[in-house]
Amino acid sequence: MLEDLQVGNENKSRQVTLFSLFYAFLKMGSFTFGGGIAMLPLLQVELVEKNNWLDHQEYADCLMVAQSTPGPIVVNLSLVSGYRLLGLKGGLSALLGVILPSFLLLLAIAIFLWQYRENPLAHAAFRGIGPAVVALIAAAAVKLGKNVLFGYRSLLLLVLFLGGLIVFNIHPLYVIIFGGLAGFFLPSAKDGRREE
Amino acid sequence: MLILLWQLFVAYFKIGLFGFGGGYAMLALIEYEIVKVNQWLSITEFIDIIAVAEMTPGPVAINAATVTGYRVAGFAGAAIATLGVIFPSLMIAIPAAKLVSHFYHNPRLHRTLSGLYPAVIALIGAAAVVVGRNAVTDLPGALFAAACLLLLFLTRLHPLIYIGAGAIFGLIFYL
Repeated sequence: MLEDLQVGNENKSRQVTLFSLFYAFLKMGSFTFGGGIAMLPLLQVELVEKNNWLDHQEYADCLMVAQSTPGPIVVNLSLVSGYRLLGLKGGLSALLGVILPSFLLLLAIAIFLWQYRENPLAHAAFRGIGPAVVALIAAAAVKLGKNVLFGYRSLLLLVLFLGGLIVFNIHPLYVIIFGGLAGFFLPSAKDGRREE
Repeated sequence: MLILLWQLFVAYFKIGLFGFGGGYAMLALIEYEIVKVNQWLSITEFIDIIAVAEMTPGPVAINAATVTGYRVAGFAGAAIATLGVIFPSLMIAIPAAKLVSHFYHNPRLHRTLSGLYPAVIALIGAAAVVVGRNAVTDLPGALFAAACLLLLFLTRLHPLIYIGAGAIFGLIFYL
């Protein structure tokens, strides 16, 4: 199966090299704002439409793996698609490309700018950004929830988990573990829209 | 120093290992490990990191790891924390890709993952509550957050616009 994944890219329009892979992910890592998720549509353009390195189905497969394994989605996606194109070295080049910009930029911010957070102008601006950040997170929860939660079992689990996290301060990793166990053991009669 | 680096690595390793569902879902994990348990960052610093992460490219987990690591243990800390958060991906994502056909056809795995949906949404909701408790401190802030929320549901504006509007709102009300 490993061989299957790595062949398949012979009649692609543009040859993929370790450097071109690194560079494609570097561009994505440098110019997409708003977190990793904002990169996904642009990555699709870069990998599928522009360079023809992957077809739509292959990209969808990579994305599915990236979303269903732990860790930042873009990190997983870079590893998986880089691996599919050029093996382990490809995965690592893509990974390096995607994390290097934010690592260096945030390092520069931590070194040179973090101390100015206490400056009155910056402080006032950040205090105003706070409520906007809350709204962005809350909207993400609602929008995502509408798309993936079906049936009252999901809602019951959601309420249980939220209560545990907010009222009882349980460690978030238990929520992940219990969520996985509940999905594994409980019959999924009600939230079956995905299984249909 | 070595112990500190090890603790940084372990904390971010945990965040990577249990970080299902993308950046927003990881916020609750980061807050728990970094602010609550280890107290490497204050809650305001944590909120500022989310704000900066919205303004800069790249995954929020990488951004948070870099800043936390640097603040705790300099350059080595930044590198170790970042390595910690991507390490689980390195171990899991590629082997998982090799099993991609099983991913499609194994209903049990499918069920397990769909069981994670309520967990992921709960984590994002909890992050909104934790950040909200600390970031929304007065009536103008609450009204501004409500206005943003309304726009987020009604329009498809880029997140950067909300950050920019927040900065302007802050400069008007909190200077």
